[in-house]
Amino acid sequence: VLSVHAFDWPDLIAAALVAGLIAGLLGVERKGAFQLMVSRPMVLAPLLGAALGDAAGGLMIGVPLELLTLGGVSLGAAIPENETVIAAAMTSLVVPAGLKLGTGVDEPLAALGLLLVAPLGALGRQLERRAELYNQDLVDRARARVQSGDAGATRLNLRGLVWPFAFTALIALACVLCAPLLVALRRASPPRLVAAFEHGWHLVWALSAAAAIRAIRDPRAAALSAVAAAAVAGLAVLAGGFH
Amino acid sequence: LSALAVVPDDAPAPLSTATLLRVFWRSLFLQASWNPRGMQNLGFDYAMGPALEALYADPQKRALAAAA
Repeated sequence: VLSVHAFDWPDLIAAALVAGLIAGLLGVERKGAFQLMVSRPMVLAPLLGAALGDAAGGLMIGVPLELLTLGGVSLGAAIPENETVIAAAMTSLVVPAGLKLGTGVDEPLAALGLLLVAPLGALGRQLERRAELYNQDLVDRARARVQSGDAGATRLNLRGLVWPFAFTALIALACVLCAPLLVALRRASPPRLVAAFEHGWHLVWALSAAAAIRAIRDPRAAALSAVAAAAVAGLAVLAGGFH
Repeated sequence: LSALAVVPDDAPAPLSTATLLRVFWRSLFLQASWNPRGMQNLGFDYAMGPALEALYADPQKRALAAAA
């Protein structure tokens, strides 16, 4: 059942390289350069989706991820889960799979994709921590060179961009190459499991709405987030019904 | 208040617009080497590079200013 031979591999490899390049650049933009917020899931996912052939599918992924990660802010030494890595990985995995299946990014596929890539957010945080420790070495080297009279050694600052580019690009690239496995998993899923994934995606929306409201840091946030989750879940049931 | 400001005779010339634009461009990479110990320290030094070049013609003095 897990056949991956139906994919056109040259096209998939080209898509992986494009996704890797875009994700790497946006991974750098997240903290190291510009900080124009293009790396936020709501912007990154449609952009990457458009590059891979399905901007609307990217948007379907990006909006709930944006809400889900809204409260995680990289301030000082606090490192949240890397939302850029999650969004890039999920878009790179799910969009090519949706195109191959002919369904686009539908609810079961999105839920299955999120299930697979969710741990990558924590991995992204670990990699970011390692990059920051590498940056401390860069500072020590720059300081030693400046103290010996080389004022231009401050250019070592730019080498700090290499790690975020590399790990974000490699993760996105690997996820595109894993898209055939997602296709195979989706095809192998029995109808009841597909229905469960579909409802699971609605719950992700409910959780996202709750997480976004919880991020307002207000004493009433917990209660409001519960109301938001219930409202979104209720709307999902009304709109889609239970199977 | 600017009319009351006393500018010393040996004060350096104001930085040119081109220098300020270079500083601005480099400031966009302020956090490129963010680290837990010094945070934006190297990024700030990198961003100020063009201004230090304009203010300190002598490379040794420039390096001293960058290390300060």
